[in-house]
Amino acid sequence: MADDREVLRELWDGRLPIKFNLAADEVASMEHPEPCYLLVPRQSYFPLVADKVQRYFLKYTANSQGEEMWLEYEGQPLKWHYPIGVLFDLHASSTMLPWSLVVHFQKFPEDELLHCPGKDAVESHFMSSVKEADTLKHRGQVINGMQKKDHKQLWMGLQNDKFDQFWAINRRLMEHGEENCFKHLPFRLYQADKPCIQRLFRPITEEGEQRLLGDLVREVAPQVFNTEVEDTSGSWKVVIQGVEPPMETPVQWLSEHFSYPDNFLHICLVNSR
Amino acid sequence: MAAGTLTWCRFKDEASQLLRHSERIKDGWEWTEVEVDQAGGSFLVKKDVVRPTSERVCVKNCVPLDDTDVLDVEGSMEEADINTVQCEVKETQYYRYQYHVLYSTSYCVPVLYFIASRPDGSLASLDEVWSSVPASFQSRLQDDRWTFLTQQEHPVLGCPMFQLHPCHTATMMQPLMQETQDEEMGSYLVSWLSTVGPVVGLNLPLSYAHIGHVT
Repeated sequence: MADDREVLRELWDGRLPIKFNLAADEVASMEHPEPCYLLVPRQSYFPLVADKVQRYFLKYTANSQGEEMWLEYEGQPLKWHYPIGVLFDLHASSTMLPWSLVVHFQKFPEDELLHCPGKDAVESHFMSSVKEADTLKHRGQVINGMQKKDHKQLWMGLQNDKFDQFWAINRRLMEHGEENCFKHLPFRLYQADKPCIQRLFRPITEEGEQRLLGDLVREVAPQVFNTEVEDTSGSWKVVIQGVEPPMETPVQWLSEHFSYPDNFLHICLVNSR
Repeated sequence: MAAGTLTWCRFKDEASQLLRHSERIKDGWEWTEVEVDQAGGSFLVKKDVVRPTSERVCVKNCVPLDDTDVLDVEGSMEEADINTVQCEVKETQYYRYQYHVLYSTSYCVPVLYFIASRPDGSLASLDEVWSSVPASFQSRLQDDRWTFLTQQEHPVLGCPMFQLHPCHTATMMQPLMQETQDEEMGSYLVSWLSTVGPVVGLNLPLSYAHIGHVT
């Protein structure tokens, strides 16, 4: 059970200031549009917060035949199905704020980005992650034991930025029952330009000892520790929720407190050079 | 193992059996290793499966034949102009499918991924792919549409593909595994693939049914 609730609230309230600019080669009007500024929740997804941006820029483009908007940062198309905080930590953690993004309506990068036909797709993707996380933690028993309205409440809580509504249900997914921990840790590890890594990882050893963030990173991304001195002052940063937790942090605690609303711990490995 | 699931080892063993049989009947399955020694890091691939996907209705100008079987074009050109009819012709588009069978370490079941390319090489949309799902499956799956067949990132390659969601697989496979003894059951992979494959145009020849049986 998540005891350090202040942490949960702080993370939930985390915001990123973003400056959206229409791609210069897609401006069809005489007037070049001013950039659009938004303060967006780290825990949310771009298709849930960028409607205004789409409506605003669409009128400056050549066509409005329902082309799908997509976002890019310094040449990198941004995956809408990753939480906004993950995208920032992975691609732009050392950039100056506001985070400057380019808005596109043409040449959708089919081989890199999933299509987002609408908010239903975001909900489906989100719930799919929640279910997978619970399958890893509790063999799916908690999520499958809930009613459809509970699933809906999770989604609505996220969509409408309602912490209490969300956590009323989510706390059940964060309980560890008779065991002291989850069966497996739901996590994904990201590095720029590589597919994300997901493995089975138990939060405690066979002897019942807590496993730490350092143990997980050493197992899944050993190159982080491949320096002469065994600490993280090498060229890699391990960023979760915008911070670098100490390597001695138990992963069980991280899973309960630092997961995103989809119940996954999204870990970004960033080159600190 | 939880009911209706299989281990990575069993998945690999059954994949080997499937590959051997595929080789024998020239069915085109291959094994791709990306993350060697990682559970789920290698998978089955079948490429270049061409199948009709969307049918377009085209309007063509046709010249009706008169009583004789042969149309005399030279003599009756003018007549032909006057007598042309517009016919609706169904033109079938053929798309090229590629199927991947992966192992999910989260659900401990196999998962089917695929992409479809249009004749011009571009990737087909979910709507196009959905419209090629046999009608009998479509009506059953309509309610679960957003959860059953979705675009996802390939777990190993990272590229966008369509996926048949794995969360109901164990439930589907469980009665099958309960009813048969282990040695009679044969290949879990074949039973599963022959059930879900046809939904997205992947058909297994009947000869696969006998692999893995202990004689």
